[in-house]
Amino acid sequence: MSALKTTFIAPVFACFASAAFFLVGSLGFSSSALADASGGEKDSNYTRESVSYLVPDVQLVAHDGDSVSLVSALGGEKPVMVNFVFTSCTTICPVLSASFAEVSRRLADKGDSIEFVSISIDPEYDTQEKLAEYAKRMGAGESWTFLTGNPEDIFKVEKAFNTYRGNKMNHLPLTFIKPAGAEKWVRLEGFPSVDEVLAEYKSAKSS
Amino acid sequence: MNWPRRSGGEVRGVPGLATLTLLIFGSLGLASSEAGETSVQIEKRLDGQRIYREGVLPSGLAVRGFTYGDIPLSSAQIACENCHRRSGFGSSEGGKVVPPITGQALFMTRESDLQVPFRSRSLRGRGRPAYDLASLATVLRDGIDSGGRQLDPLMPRYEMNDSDIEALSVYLKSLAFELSAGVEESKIHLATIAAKNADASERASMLEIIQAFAADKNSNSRNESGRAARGPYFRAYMDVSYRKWDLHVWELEGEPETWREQLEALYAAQPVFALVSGRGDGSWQPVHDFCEANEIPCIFPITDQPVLDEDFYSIYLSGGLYRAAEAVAGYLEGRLATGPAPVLQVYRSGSEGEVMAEAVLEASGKSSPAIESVKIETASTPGAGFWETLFRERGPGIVLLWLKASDLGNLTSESILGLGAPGLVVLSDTLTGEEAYSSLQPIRERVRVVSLRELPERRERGLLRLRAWLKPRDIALSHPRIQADALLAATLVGSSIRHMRRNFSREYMIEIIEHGLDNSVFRSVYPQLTLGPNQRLASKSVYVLRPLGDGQDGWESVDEAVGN
Repeated sequence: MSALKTTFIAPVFACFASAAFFLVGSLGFSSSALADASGGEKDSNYTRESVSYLVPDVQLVAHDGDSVSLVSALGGEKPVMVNFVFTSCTTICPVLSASFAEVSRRLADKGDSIEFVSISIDPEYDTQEKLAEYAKRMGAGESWTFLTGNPEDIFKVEKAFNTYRGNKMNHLPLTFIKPAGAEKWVRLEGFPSVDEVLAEYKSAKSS
Repeated sequence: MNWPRRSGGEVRGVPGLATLTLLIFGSLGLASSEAGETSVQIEKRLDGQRIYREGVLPSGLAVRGFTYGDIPLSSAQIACENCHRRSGFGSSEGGKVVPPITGQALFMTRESDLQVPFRSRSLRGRGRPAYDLASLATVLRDGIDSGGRQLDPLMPRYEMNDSDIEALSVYLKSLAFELSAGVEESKIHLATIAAKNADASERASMLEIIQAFAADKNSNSRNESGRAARGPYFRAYMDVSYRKWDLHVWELEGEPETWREQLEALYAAQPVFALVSGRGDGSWQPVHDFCEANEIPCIFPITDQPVLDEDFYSIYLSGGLYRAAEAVAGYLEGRLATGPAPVLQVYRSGSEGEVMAEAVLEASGKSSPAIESVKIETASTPGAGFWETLFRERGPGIVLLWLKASDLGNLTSESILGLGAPGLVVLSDTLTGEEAYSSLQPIRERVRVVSLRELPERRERGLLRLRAWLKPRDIALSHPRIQADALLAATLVGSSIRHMRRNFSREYMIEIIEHGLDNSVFRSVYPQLTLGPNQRLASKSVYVLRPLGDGQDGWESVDEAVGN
């Protein structure tokens, strides 16, 4: 599996619009218009990409204390959704976590068994105990695992998924979806609604 | 009513406290708590505070709402404080800007206040009328602001009734309502604590740094006040917030139990906006409690006994003896799994070593083997006889020495080494200082050091910035950790004050440091400094170190950072 990474998100750089458009086409963007904080016109609150990631071979610690191989958690045939959060985060993560909670509840109601994985980007603070507390607060069920680890390993994971932005306060709202047996991940940047996440999952499954 | 516009060049300072207060009274028709807030108003404000901070309605039910259309949020997840922070000045995260919602921000007309050349689309603030109860209800329920514009869908749409909204509005009006005590028109009062129970030369070193830093600030060397008054850009953005530091040295007499009373008296005589650094021996609890009770930011005191409760107003650099003790407990657990050995801890009665010893016992809990404590009661240095008797009676084992370096002199005499003792020695560089790495040379390979600092061979790198700062100021490097910690505290207080501009809010200061510390280039003697919302301990790392093998010079961690 080779890592095909896009290095920038086209709509952000309006002045490169035409060049960016070309890239969009070649990389398989479909949804456009990133949420514009200054309140400009927008038809969607997120962008989508389809990307291959090489999951790094690291052992992480789950909120229940289990040691977890990230490759076996994410690299297999199972359908999985991933996000990156930290427990003391106040603005973005509560929304991402609430979204996972609702999406997982609705999928469970439909009998769809998909795994949810939330990876902490603040491993020094987010100990296993902190994650367990957070999971409880979010009402996480059996299918939702929170992972932490040593900072070097987490850094590798962030790099691999192109989520690393230096200061954790600069992190982006990202949701990753990989349907059963798929090679590529659907990378959603921004804040899709619950219905939109479900629709993205459905469309990824059927493609 | 508008904020006075900074038009023309005649405005030289922000309105004084009296003018400011008058303006707000005039526009909001409010009375501050001191000016006769009625019991009904107080009740409403407290109800509003609970909605704001905890996401709990006056009815006792959770606040509920939706973000991005259909993502349900409730309780603390949706509390205003989450995004807008306790100060109400907002925040930013991942490209999302959370605007201020303080009384002044909401209940006044907002105009685009940039000068003409700067009114580009991206910089222009969006004007809107002042909020009233009706428009506040609309924005909370439907996400439409007082100017009729739709807010970003990240702002939740709330389910609240009229009386909930009224309570919340009373609280919002009180947010950052008064200029904080300790801030005057041309200066800001700050204090640093120099407790006399701490080593006099350490105290002096810390003070020298903080005072030199304040002198730099006060030299107006970057013509801060002139630039703020003249530049069209700075006038709008920086405002005229530059203030000189009035740095007070609060010398505390006696032991920590008596500090609280002294602090209250000092504060009553001269309110300060924040405490910068500080040095004292013994428990920091009295200062911590004082800061919490008076809502005073206490930024990075240099203490080995911090309070790790994650309250609001005190931020610490490291977890001190408590964090070190946890690491030792973890280390022993691993070591003892491979074979029983007696564990002794030796310390002086009434010393910091005793605090460490108690913390090790507490951190070890019931799962650990019995750790036997040996107290030294005499004032003199333990002689070879003391150690010999100890090892003859107890066997070589593992010895935790929570002592100062000066107490270790006779530990490696011939007779003791002949006993094959001590089997393994654990020291704390918090207690011994750098001598932990050089003392006990004859048994160097049996020494372990618990350290909250960067690995020894990397420490010099961390001090480069301190050295560069000291040199032009002609200050000698005397106590690297003390000086580096003091400079770090002063630097962060300085940058947070600059960042606040005229919004002199104590809560905002803390939020700025929480938010920006990860970007700090200077990190004193610590491997990494990070904070996040409501985190109160900047360096989480702790190592148990052992000497490199094969006679190499240097130390390595016995395993990965034991921090987690």
